[in-house]
Amino acid sequence: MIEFFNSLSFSNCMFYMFSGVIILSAVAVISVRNPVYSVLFLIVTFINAAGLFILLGAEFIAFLMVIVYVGAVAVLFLFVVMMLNIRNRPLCTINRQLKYTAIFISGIVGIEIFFLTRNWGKFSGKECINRVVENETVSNTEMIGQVLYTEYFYPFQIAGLILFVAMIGSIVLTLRKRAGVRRQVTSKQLYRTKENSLILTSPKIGEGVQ
Amino acid sequence: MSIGTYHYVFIGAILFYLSLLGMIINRKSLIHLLVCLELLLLAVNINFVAFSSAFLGIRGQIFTVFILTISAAEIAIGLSIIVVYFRNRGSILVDDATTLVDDATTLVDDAPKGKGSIHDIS
Amino acid sequence: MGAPIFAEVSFVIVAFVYLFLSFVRDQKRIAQLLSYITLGILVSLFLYFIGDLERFIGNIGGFFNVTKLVMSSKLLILFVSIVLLSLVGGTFFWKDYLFARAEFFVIFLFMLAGSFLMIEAFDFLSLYLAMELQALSLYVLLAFKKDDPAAIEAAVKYFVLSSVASGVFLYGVSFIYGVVGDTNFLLVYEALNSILSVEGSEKTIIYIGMALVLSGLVFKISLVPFHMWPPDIYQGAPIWVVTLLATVSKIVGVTVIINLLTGPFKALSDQWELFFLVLGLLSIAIGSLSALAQNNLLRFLGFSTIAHMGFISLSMAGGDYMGLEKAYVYLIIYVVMILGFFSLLMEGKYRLKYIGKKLENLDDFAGFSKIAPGMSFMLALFLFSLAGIPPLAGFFAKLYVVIVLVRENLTVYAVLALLFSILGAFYYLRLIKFMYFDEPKDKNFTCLEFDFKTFIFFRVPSLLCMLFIIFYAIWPNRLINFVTFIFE
Repeated sequence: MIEFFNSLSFSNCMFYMFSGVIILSAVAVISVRNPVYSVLFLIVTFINAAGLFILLGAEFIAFLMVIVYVGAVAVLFLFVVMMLNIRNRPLCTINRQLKYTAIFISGIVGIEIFFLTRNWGKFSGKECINRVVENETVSNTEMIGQVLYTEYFYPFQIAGLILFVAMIGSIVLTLRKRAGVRRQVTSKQLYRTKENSLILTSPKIGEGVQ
Repeated sequence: MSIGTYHYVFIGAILFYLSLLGMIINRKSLIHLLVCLELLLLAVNINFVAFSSAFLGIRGQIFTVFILTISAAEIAIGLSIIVVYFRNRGSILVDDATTLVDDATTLVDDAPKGKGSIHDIS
Repeated sequence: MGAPIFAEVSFVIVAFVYLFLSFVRDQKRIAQLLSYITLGILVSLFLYFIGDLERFIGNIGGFFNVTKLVMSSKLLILFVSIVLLSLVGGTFFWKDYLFARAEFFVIFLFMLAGSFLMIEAFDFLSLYLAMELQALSLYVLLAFKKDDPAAIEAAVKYFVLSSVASGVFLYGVSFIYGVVGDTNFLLVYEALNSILSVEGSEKTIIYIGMALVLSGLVFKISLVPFHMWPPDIYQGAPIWVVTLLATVSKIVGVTVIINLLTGPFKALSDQWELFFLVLGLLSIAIGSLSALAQNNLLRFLGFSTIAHMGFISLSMAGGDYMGLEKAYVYLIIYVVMILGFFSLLMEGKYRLKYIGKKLENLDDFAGFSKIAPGMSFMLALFLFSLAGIPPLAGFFAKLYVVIVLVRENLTVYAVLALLFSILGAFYYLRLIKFMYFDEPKDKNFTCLEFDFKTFIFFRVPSLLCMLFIIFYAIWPNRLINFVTFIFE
């Protein structure tokens, strides 16, 4: 116990704080019934995960985490949740079959964690350290930038294709033509001429335009 | 007791477990399922970055960058499918998803038809 | 330079060109035109590839590696997609304009590019990316029928399950990265080999990683713990997309698994043999037994897929190259059978829909032989072949698997697999009984007439497949020798 408190350097404190919040908020994400709260707890989880990444010396990933997830994905989630006006999820009713599935999965993950606990240090032989204070000549972002567009050219292109498919796909799926909506049809407008749209008359008094 | 790779992988494993558990208990709401999917990918990301830090290499972080990109694309498609689903049914509860039900379910399971069988989304 | 991924690049370029055509007002005519153009492109690629397989072999940037196995899988996918496009062309003649949009061809070409990239991936990163490219396109294709609740529900189910599977796959890859420090297949192979050769080193993490990676991929071919999706999706989705899932997706899944087993996981063969043995036997058992209780034809086909994939998995459990070769032979025969069956089924659905009947449940087939004698004869042949009745190709596929198992001293498993498949065969025969020995539901039925366009677009592909399964028995060594050649 005393040994534990002696080891509490600043970065170790931060690790325990971040990971504690991550686990608590992940529990909240899966147990809260209102989807809006669930997404908000997801944001908390991601911000704390970004903290962990900074501790690991991966600043670029940490920033991406905040920018992409909190900035884009979570907002997309909230947008859809608000747009669809979704009710709270129903209380979960766990039947027999489901209980066995849950026990099975937790058994697998439990065994995995057990083996990790027992053998990781012996196996890996590489001690990882928190590298916040380490001096490096090349920053993390620069390292990523050096290989992402050169060595990883092909995966980068494929990622672009995937984004493209996602864009086309979401447009194809969600675009719909509603009946009764008046739209501007440019070709029709351009086809209009003076002859077929304008009539010059001189109506007599009391009769009006026929 | 210094913080090693093991600690990070442990956090990843717990998140992985929580996300799978979340998919089981939230199997009735599609939005919750997508949120749990994000947690699953977060667990993977933590693993990759931790290992990348242990190896002093950059490959794990590059992998993470790609996973972030792809998961954003996947969520966009997933949400648009959910929107279409909502337009068809007026609800996104999977509870209502009983169009495709096994004829044999009622024989195997004493639960009412379609509800809570393993053939639902789980 | 660039020759190995020639096909993928051309698909992407053509898809971008097609995208501009989606502005045109008359989408029906454009789609019909595009289906012919795409058909032409695919046929010319097929002929270009079949001329000289070894011309395209090469490695691209360490991310993609084209081998003879990859080339033959590409040829198989090209053949399947030629038939699929012919079916799309046929749908227009039956006033089904579901796919009558230029975007459909864009997404389809991206799906093909994703499949090709996936089978030639040589790095876990490129494998993951290609897998997602294929999967995202499949989600969109599944949800293409926007106003059909069943189709959308199938799309939602496939989306959720498939993305969980890819998450599990990634989690496994992260452990392999944690052990090796790289994701390239060659480097993973060398590192795992050296780690496993050291006595007393901790191997559990490697095993967990491999099991998770294989679980994510096994989802694609629907082996047992991940077998929930085919029945539901087959029943709900548009039948054309079901054909796509039943053929292209399976070819890709099996080829990628063979790539992994002969590449990075070669040193772990003791473990994955057990893995595939258990999964294969369970799949055959559950697939055959659940099929018995079904009344919907497509749902039944979903369960029969599980059983057939179980045979492929058992063959992989045979371990060495012999087992993998026979798994590949089984795959080829299975794909040809199911492709012919589905194109006949599509034709039958359209024709009966035209005269106001449907073809969904098994009892809808009552007396089908009197309504459409030729079609019923072909359907019966395909069903016999799927059940594994001797002179047809399906029998030989099963025979090879049994031979592999007996040679590996796994005779008990071979006997069990055969017993379950005999149980499953009962069901195929039940459909034949409905077609030939029952009377049609309404007495004053009319015989279907010959229709030239339908013949060209639907019947010719299924006739080709039928010729293959009939005449396979005469020259079985041709296919075997070809597969041995590509596995060298």
